[in-house]
Amino acid sequence: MFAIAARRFTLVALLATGLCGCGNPEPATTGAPAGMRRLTEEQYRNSIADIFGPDVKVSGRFEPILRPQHGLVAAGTSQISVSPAGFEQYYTMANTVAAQAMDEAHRATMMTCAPGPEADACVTAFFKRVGLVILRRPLTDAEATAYAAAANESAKTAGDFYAGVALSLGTMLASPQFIFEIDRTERGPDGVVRLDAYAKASRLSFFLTNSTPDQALLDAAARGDLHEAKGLAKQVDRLLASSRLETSVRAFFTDMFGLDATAELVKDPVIYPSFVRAVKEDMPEQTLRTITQHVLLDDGDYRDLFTTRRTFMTRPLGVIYGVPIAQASGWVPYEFSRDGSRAGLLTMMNFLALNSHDGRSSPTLRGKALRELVLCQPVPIPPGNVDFSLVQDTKNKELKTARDRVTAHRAEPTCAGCHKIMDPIGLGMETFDGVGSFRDAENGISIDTSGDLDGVKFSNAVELGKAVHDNPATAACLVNRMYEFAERRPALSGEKAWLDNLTRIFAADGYRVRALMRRIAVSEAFYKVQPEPNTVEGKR
Amino acid sequence: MQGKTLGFLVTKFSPSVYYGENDCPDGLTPTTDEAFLLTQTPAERLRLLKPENALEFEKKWKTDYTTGPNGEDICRNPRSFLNDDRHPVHLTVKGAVSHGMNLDGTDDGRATARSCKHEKFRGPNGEPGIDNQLYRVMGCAKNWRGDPTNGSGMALKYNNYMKDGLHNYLIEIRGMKDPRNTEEVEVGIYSTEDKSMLDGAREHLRNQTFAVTKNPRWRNVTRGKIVDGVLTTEVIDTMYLDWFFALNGPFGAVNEHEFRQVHFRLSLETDGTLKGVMGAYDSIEVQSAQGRHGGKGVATNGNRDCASEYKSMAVYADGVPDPVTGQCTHISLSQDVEAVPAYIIHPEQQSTKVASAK
Repeated sequence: MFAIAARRFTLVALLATGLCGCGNPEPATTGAPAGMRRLTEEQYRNSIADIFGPDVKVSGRFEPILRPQHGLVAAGTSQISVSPAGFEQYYTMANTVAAQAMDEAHRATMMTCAPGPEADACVTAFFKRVGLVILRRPLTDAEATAYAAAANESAKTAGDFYAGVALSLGTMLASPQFIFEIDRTERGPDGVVRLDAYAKASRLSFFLTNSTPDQALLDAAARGDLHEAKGLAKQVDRLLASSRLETSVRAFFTDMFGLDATAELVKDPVIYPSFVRAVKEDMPEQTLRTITQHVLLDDGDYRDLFTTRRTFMTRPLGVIYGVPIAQASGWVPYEFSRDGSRAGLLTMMNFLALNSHDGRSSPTLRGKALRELVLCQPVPIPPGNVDFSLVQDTKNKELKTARDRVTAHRAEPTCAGCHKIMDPIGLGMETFDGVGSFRDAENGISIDTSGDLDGVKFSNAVELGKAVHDNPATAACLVNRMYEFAERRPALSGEKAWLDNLTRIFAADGYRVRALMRRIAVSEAFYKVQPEPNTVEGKR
Repeated sequence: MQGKTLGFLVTKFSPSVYYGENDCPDGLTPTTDEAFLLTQTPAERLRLLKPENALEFEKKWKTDYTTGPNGEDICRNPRSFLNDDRHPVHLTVKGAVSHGMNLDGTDDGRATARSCKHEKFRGPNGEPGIDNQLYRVMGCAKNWRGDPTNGSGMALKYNNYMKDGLHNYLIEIRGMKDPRNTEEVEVGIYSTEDKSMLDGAREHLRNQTFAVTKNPRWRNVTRGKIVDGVLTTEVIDTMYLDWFFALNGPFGAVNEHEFRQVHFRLSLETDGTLKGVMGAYDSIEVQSAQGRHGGKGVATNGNRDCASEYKSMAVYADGVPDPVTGQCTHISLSQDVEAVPAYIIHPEQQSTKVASAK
């Protein structure tokens, strides 16, 4: 199916190029200063699995990467370092991984060296080879020799040849050059500072596979292909056609929609007894399956994610959705009925439950999430002295519905400004309780889900989804977020024209996510660095 | 059938216990050690109860008293104790009121073609002719009876089996035109191999999906009618349901209920649940096995005299006479039934795509 989708994508991309006249040069960007980004936990784990095999275990805790305000966690990777305690964890994990790599079960796949007179040369060659994939750049002879010498010394101390290699290998894995993706620069033939080929390979790989560059990409870097449009496009298309793309797309949407918060989500078990562990575990997977099926396998219009009736279900989720699921275990495709109350991500429990309180729904939180996560329209932080007692009083005799309560809350002038951009759209989802189960009344009063999104009226959550689908901010937000995810930093003011143009191209491409990723991956903007002197340059 | 279909997961299916004030005027049925002591002279009882004779006492009641003349296990082979007078018939319920239904159609409990002569109860609302000999026999046994606050220990155990997924039952009402009054509905009572999900308080979740058992023997269908929100079914002559014990040996073979002359009376509650009772006869072999499936440990650690239990059920059995001996082989009972809404998938629907959701 990926192959079919890839062929379809190529056709769409070609058509789009002709339609929008994208043969014109892309708007110039300033680029950002060369920097470094800490690998996310998933990138670290993916990298270890790709280098050493999926059965090598990574055991340890990763320091959290803070989500910048109104940004992606991915952007936080460029704004964070490693604390001493965090480095201890990395160091322990590195040595545990290295020990596994050099144990009897694994070492033959990594290294053929054995103790003896040929060992030094063999081990040096090993570190040169493995250093390339671990540090994502070639090691100098001096570096490889140093790692081999350290291995030799350690072997003498440990009295074990392989333990010595493992210790030196662990040192390499604990190196900041592995833990961080580093923008190494060079001067191109035109004298302009640019990312070197291996840094390009890393940037591309972490964007499209959420992991370290594979051998083919490193080979392309070695040949200089990535500095040529044709060679770069060939690698981009190869990665886009790979099943690894899904890993990256999942990471992106997890980040964009804040699905990572699901792990810490708690609901009041008395009010929502059905919110059991199995439900909670399946919740984000339902969202991600829906997304990947639509944007990758079906190569669908991104905006249709807010109107699609197609999703996936498990038996535990069936309890929340109130639907029978014939298959006892695993996932089954599912389609909401045409006359039902659900269509699109806004009506799926992950969005609804994540953006609710522990014991009640929240039009405000849902409206805020829709504004910030889907439309990229930041909502100001509330003042510290807000009196929430009215909206929290779900048993209020006079204000029986959430609409009544938030309307009363909005009567406060200090609250009205922000709430009027959140509550009216959040109330469109009020027929879903705090875990996303359907209800048509609250405290015996029929729930009114009518409202408007930026002037477009809707009467229920399905129509709200259609309004989101048609809102220009929806596509523009996706483009901005995808670029932020790719660069792992917020977009800069000097990139606005480029992003506006990219948004127009995204529309011309039929709002296809794969096509958008390709546009970014082959663009000059994606790899551009500001031409300041770089301290890393030339100091390998 | 035209009309609405409602599915339910049975969450309670355990013996009904009525707590009358003077149900057990003679006291509770002796436990195994107490029963053993009653076989001894008063002087010997006092001697055995002295601390220095604790080991001797324990050996006598845990070994001698619970072992047959040929080494039989009191719980695995209670039949061999039928003529052993050391194991008496239980103290029975003397109260006149019990939950249950009239199974034999008589008000006086006279013998019929399908029943042996027995004493009747009155229902809690005064209805005559209630058959519940199991309650009569077991209702004064400490563990079985429990107390009004905490309920029956045996019921708790039985209902926990369903929570643990050892066996689960489904009820489906088809053709319902009005939940208050429908002249005729079809009612399915099924086993399911699917396990139930529980919430944090170990209660069954509502709206789960369950597939009807693959074993046609454990699928039962009857008709019924709904009057004022109460469903009453026609009699099911024989109803088999899965009854699973993860046991080796002879009790592993006892893996199903064999209910006879089954009646249900279930109220459709406003919160969507079902509540009521099932009246039926059950084989005394199955009923007694439920209590003694753990072997001799039930008599020693559980302190239940399996021989007395079996003997009592045999004596008070009131249903399904043996055509040769005339001795009844089944005992009347009442099971409390509660059920929560669920989706039921029938075998022919297993691959059907279902597309309806709120």
